[in-house]
Amino acid sequence: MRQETFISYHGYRWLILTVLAVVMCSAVYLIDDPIGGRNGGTIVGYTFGTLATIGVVWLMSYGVRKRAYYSSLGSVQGWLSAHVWIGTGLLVLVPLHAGFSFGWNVHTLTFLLMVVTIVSGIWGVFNYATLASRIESHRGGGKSTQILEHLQTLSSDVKALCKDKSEAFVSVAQRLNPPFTVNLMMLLRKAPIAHIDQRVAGAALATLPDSEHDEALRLFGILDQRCDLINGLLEEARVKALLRIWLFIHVPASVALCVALAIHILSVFFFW
Amino acid sequence: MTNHFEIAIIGAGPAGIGAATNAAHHKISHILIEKGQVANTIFDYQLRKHVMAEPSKLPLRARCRFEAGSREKILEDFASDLKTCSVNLVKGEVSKISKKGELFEIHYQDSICTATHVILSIGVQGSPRKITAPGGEMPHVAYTLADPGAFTGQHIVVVGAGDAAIENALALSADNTVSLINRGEEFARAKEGNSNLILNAIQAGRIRCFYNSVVARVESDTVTITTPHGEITVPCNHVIARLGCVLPRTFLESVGIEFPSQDLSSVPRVSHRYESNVPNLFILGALIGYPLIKQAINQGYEVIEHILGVPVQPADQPLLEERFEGLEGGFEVNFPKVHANLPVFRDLSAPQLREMLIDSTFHVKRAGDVVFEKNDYTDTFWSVLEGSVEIEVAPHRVVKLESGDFFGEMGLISGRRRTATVRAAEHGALLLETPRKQILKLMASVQSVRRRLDEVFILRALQTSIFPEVDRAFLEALVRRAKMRSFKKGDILFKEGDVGDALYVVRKGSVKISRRNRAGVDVAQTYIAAGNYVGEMSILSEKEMPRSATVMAAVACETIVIDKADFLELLSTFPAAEDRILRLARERKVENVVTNWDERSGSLLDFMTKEGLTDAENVLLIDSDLCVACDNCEAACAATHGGHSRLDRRGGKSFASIQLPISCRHCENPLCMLECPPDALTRLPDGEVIIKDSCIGCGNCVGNCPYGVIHIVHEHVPKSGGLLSWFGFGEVVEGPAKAAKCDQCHDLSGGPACVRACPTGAAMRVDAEQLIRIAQAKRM
Repeated sequence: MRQETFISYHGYRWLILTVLAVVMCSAVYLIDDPIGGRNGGTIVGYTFGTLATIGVVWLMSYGVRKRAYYSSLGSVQGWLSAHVWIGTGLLVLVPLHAGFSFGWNVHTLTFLLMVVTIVSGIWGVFNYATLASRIESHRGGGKSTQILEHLQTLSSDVKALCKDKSEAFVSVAQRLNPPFTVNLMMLLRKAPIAHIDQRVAGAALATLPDSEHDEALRLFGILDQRCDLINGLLEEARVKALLRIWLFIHVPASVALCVALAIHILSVFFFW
Repeated sequence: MTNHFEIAIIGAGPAGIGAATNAAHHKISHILIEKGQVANTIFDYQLRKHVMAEPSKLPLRARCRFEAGSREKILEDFASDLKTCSVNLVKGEVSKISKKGELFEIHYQDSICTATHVILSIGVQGSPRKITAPGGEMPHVAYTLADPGAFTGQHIVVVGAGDAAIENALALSADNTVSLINRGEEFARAKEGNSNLILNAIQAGRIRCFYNSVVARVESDTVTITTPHGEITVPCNHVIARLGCVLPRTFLESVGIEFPSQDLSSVPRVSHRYESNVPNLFILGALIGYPLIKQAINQGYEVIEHILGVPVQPADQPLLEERFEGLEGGFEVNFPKVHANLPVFRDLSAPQLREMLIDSTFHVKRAGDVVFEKNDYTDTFWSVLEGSVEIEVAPHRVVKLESGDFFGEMGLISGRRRTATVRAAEHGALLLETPRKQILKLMASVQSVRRRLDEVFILRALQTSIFPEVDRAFLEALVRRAKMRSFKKGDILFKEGDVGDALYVVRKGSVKISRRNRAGVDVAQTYIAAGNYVGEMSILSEKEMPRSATVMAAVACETIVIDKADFLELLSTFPAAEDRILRLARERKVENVVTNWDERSGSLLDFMTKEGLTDAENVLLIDSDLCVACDNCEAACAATHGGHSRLDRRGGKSFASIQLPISCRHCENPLCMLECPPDALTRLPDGEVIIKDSCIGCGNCVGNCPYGVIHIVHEHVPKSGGLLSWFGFGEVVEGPAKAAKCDQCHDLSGGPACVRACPTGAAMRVDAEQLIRIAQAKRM
């Protein structure tokens, strides 16, 4: 039994409806042959424009529905499914509305903002589909607080190992276990903390007295484990960030789109 | 010379205060003896706790004030009322009460007084058990610990192995050197969480533990401990002894009061004037099963009136009469009928019967009316007062019950759905519906109720689902010989390879069946729910046969054990039963061979058993492959439940790619419902376990829930309401503390808000069987 996702919701109901609508609109567009050529000012153009405007307003209302927790008007999953597919359909409907005429003006700006919104949305869908299953803490992996506690224990283990050891040992421990600071770039890379280089470790081992070799090997083991834990933490943060970050484009772009759309509609009525 | 009083009242709790203020009002010579604080239990509540005045319908009859409010306000009222009424309040612990002729002799602290009447209102909390070794009375030996932070850099010896001792030892170990003295060799009595914490602390060397040890003597700066390796003396500045309580029962029995059964929860029988079997000795409040403050105060008032010979109707009389409204003849005619027609309630004392009836409802049914349907979740107990009903035990098979019989006891005890539909058989059938809680209380306190219910329960369990072919007389004889055995979670009923000697009918709970695979590892195979039997395979023939599997209690279980000899006799006497049982056994055998030792599904069953999921009726799951951690589920839950989410998405365990957030599972046997004083926890007909508004925030359910899903919260109540508050402008006030848990959004259309608000469809609520299917599909 496979869980239904918001993409495949109810047997791809919203994909099918969107494709049907887009095909119908395209057919109307092709059949229609207005005087002065196809553009936003024809009857078909106005109709498509009105449909697209209703579409945009409805897509924006997803934000309200998602927070209307008492609402029993469909499920949020169903709304998201419709949001995704109808939103994608606008990528075709709006150029049909404009008759594929673009220029350096507020009208095309509106279109571009819509494209930015939709493309960032598609990026979000892609992230949802590919990254959700990689949140380790959801799959029995340690929770971040547990991992932090574990890291702390490892740090105190390192301290305990360094106690009463030669200076050489302490300096090896410091060299191979440098303090690091988290920066944004780390979130872009997988496994940003490098494991201990075997050659470096081998060379370090040679600088130590024989009596400390066993402890040094234990030290390398602990440092290696520490490296894995930190990478795990960073990977979790990276995945969670990617699941959010697209919204910082999608939402502002959609608001900007609404402003531009209002200007577009007003300017069309007043100045055309 | 000893002082003499007309009335001696022991214990200044609500009942004692109610009695003392009324006695003082009537200017009767009296003494109120209290060993600790006035209203000790309320005093021990957390600061500013809001105290409820349940049952809200019951009027207060008292010379003292009491209404719902803060702990401080109530304590202040009590103290000032005791003063204004000039109550003779004396501090001291009563060590002995004995009867000398007509008078009682009361020993307290260093004094003795005599009294004509004694009123016992000492509550159920008891007094802490003391260290009996020399030095146990020294000033640095304490039996409570209010603030662990008050100690730093000290040597402290904690005595005990229960939760209180463990929690104190752990808290003190942060800044002190702590030694723990455990009489046993493990921490069996403690909660699992505490047991793990203390074992970790001992292993890490933060606490030194002496197992199998006792205190030999306490001196001013050392404690000597008798260990299996001889005596050891450790430095010690403070001793904290948490040895549990001496139950008031021991004290009551020393006074001559009789208890109806050995059951620890049983309460002494009293007359309708609260008089015990010892003449002129009265018992009030929680001791006789009335834990609520208002009930206790009322009883205190009434008992004084009784002693004075003033006829007084109990405060609950109007409530009782209300129950009989609409019945032909009303209270006068029908109240005696209950006693006369229902043998199961015949041994109830007057207060018990009244309380049972106040909580119950009468129903007059027409022929054919449905009382309840099969598979309903209702859990009330029904008695037939007049007329008769028909139980549809199988299609086209009806059992008729007449006046004096009862039904509905299966749902009552096993916590499962109704097993059959019941209809009224004739016009005007008069039925009495009693809440589960009341019956459980009566079963604990009145032996005859328990015995009668047990017998009928076992008989019907066997008759309806296990041996429908066997006749009643045979089963009755079998039931008399059968033993009842209870198992704790994780106990083994029998082991693979043991010689089969008995059949186990699972009456309550569920069991896990496991077998060893080729590598010798125990692999869980399946689990068997209440209403089925296990262990028949190795007792089907005369010759000795080994058990083919290990059976373990998945949750706390009750079983009916039927001996091999009885079982074989049953099979030979009833060929139809034998046929069916042999067929089933063959099917199970085949199943054992073809179930190809799938360790993965085995580990799923192990996970489910460990997490108590086999007991879950409806559990919240999150599909980790779909969850994007947006937390809209928690936001939806909080928004629809007074600002507090009842689910914790990040908490909880995971299995495969299924995550179990911390959220109520609406268990088949909800442990939370066990000790709810106002009976606020209840199961709705659709199976949801919910908390009603009558919750007093006592926290019993929070402690009883093994899954940590109940919290005490202050609900945010919008003061103005309406549109303004929706925009965040209205004033929001904090409501009283109440227990909160998932209620499955039973009052919202469209189902649980968490599931409906999940944008990716990751959240779902399923039952145990659906959970298995989903988990197995995930692993394929």
